[in-house]
Amino acid sequence: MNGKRLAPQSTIECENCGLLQGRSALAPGQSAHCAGCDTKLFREQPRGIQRALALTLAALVLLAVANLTDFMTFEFKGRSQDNRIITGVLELGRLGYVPLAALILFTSVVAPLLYLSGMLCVLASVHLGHSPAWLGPLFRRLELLKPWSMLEVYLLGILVAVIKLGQMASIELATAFWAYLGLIATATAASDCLDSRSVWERVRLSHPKHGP
Amino acid sequence: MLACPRCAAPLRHRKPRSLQRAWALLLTAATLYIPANALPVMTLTTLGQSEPDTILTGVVQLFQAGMWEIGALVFLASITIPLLKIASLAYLLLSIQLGAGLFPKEQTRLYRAIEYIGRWSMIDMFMLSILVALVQLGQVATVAPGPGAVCFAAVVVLTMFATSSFDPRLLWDTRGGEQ
Repeated sequence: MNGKRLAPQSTIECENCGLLQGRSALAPGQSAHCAGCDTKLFREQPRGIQRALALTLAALVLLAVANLTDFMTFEFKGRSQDNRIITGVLELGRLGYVPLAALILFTSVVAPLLYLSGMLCVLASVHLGHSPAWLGPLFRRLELLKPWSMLEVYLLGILVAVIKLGQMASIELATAFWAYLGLIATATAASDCLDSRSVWERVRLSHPKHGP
Repeated sequence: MLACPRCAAPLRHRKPRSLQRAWALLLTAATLYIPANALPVMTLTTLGQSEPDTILTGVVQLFQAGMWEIGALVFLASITIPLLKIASLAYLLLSIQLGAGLFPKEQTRLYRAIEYIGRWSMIDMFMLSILVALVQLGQVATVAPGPGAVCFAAVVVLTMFATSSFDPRLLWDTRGGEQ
């Protein structure tokens, strides 16, 4: 059961140039762009919330596998070493580079975990037709957090490292690497099939009040 | 101050002190960009021989080893993107302060582009964390991080914050400046 739209918006403000414009009905898959600066305003995604919910759930499972199993084995002159995502963070911390370790931990593990589990809460409650008071504030913070979840960037970092080391040592990719690929595919698909406006339209308005 | 009835965010006409914040973060990033490139980001020690690498020498090595594609990728992510970001943001800020933007549509596109590509500069830092983890083979080979890495990571984070504190709507305001 799809949560009903509580207040369909008749006008939209472009986030990039502030132009107010009327909202027109779109066919599934169509998107509307700002008349002033051409930024994409919204896209009509049939069953976007349900699909995003399913994909987010899958991504969370894959995130757990990617972080809890071995990533790759490195073999050099008869010595071999297993590696997990967290190994690099711990090693940087041990060598005294704590802020760098913290940044890498945040962008590769903590932010994706917070983002995906937050999205699970938002999408599940929207899907069930609930609109608790925390829904709007949580979803706004998740959108701020999103650019800090750098799964795809991390993947490129891995590939560069593997290619760089490939000439001097042999590297075997393990379970976590393949889980990581799946994680990126599902997380990207989840955000592709969701238009944030379709969530916003199902968030109940609270009575306007004066903040501090 | 009024709060949004939907998401409880404080309602503001424009992002608060957008130009000041963006300039402060951007200038700090531009300053740190110098040690980020001058100091070694990592040191590879093989059989007692140490080789400190800056970002640029790391790229040069990839080219020398014949790995053109990867070399070009790292060059793009670690050298071109940070420079482009700093220059573009400075240009956008200046054009607002010297009167409204002349080409608001193109400038908005530029803003969205730097907002999107900023995070890709982290490739080098992630690569470093993987190399540090993998190459810990005692006497045989070790990789240690260098002080340049901290500066470089700071440049990426600061430019991301600078970009998000910039308000692209200022480009469309007829007289620029802050409200």
